[in-house]
Amino acid sequence: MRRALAREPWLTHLTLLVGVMVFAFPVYVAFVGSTHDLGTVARGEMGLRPGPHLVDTYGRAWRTGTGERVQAPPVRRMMRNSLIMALTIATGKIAISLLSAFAPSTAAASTRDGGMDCRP
Amino acid sequence: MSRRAVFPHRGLPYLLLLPQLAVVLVFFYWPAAQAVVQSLLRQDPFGLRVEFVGLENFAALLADPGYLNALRVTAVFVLAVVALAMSAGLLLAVTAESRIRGAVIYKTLLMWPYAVAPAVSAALWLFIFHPAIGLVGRALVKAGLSWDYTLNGGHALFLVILASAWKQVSYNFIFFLAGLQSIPPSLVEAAAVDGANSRQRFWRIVFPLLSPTTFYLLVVNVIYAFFDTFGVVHALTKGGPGKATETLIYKVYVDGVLNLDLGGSAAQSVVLLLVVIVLTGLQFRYLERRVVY
Repeated sequence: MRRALAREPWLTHLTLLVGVMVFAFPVYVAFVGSTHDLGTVARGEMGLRPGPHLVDTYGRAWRTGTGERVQAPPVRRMMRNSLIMALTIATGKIAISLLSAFAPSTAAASTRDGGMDCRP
Repeated sequence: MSRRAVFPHRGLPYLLLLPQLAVVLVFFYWPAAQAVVQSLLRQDPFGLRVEFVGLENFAALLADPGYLNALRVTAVFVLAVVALAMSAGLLLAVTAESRIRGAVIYKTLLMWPYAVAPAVSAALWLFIFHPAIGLVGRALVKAGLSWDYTLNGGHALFLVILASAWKQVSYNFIFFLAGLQSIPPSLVEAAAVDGANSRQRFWRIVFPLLSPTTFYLLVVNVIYAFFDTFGVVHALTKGGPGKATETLIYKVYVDGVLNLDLGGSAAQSVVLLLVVIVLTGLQFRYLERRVVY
């Protein structure tokens, strides 16, 4: 029995499991919250088990953004905005830095001596 | 065939550099210069009158108890976030590197919070620690502790630190993991053969060899705690209760955007700019040379 315990490093597993839990727990709680209606959450009656309002909550958030007491832009719209922003920024950043990364090599070829030769 | 392409125009490299230079000039140097100029001026909120006041804004800053409070809060906050995030990241990285079953799964599960935005991390922790809604918050209240981060400054600071550090652990985890993987196993094995136990192997061999990674992460974490935690503070406490969680970066926002004290806010920005310059300078200077061990 003791030998079996020694072979598998339980303390290591335990540490890692605790680490994983610490990262997963807040997200899980938020998920559980998203499956309850506002009253349950606001009254502090939310437990650790998902409630019955999953489809309803996500559907409303996606389509209209309206809740029982909240009025927000629909997630659909916000997702599109974020996508446009993220794609524009990513492509723009890459394009601009790509251009400047090419600069040294063109300079090395065009100027015979001195210039911007960055090659070793 | 020559490897050297011939480009006809001498100005081409400059042309290629132009977009990036323009972006850096417009989005960094211009605002930074503007902040420096503004920090020497006093302006009414409507922008009708401007007066040159020299270093008066800075003098007012040092005399302001609110600013000194923000300095103190920031010091505690930065120290706690960096210590928590780095030690947790290191512990998990060292543990995940050991030869056990399912290490890949653990690593994957520990890496993903890297993608969580600071404001989202704040919202997640709110769900746990809110005294009326949160699971843990409710349990604490029920246990007789008067837990309420909206009223108690210490609680608020604790929560902001927790949410900020939580998000940064996985970043540190990834870098520590990479650092650990670059350590030659033969060194650790040699130490084991020499009779060093696992604690000695870690502190005498692994930890010193990790010092370049540790130093890099130290600088990055300090910068993170100083500047990227605005979202967490804003989403959780808005600097309150009172000014208990008002860090330097949050005070810049409160004074400049909410209170329209443009000169004072600019002076604070300049101070923060100096902090960044010093930190970046340190990083370049010592990272280039390698940390000595």
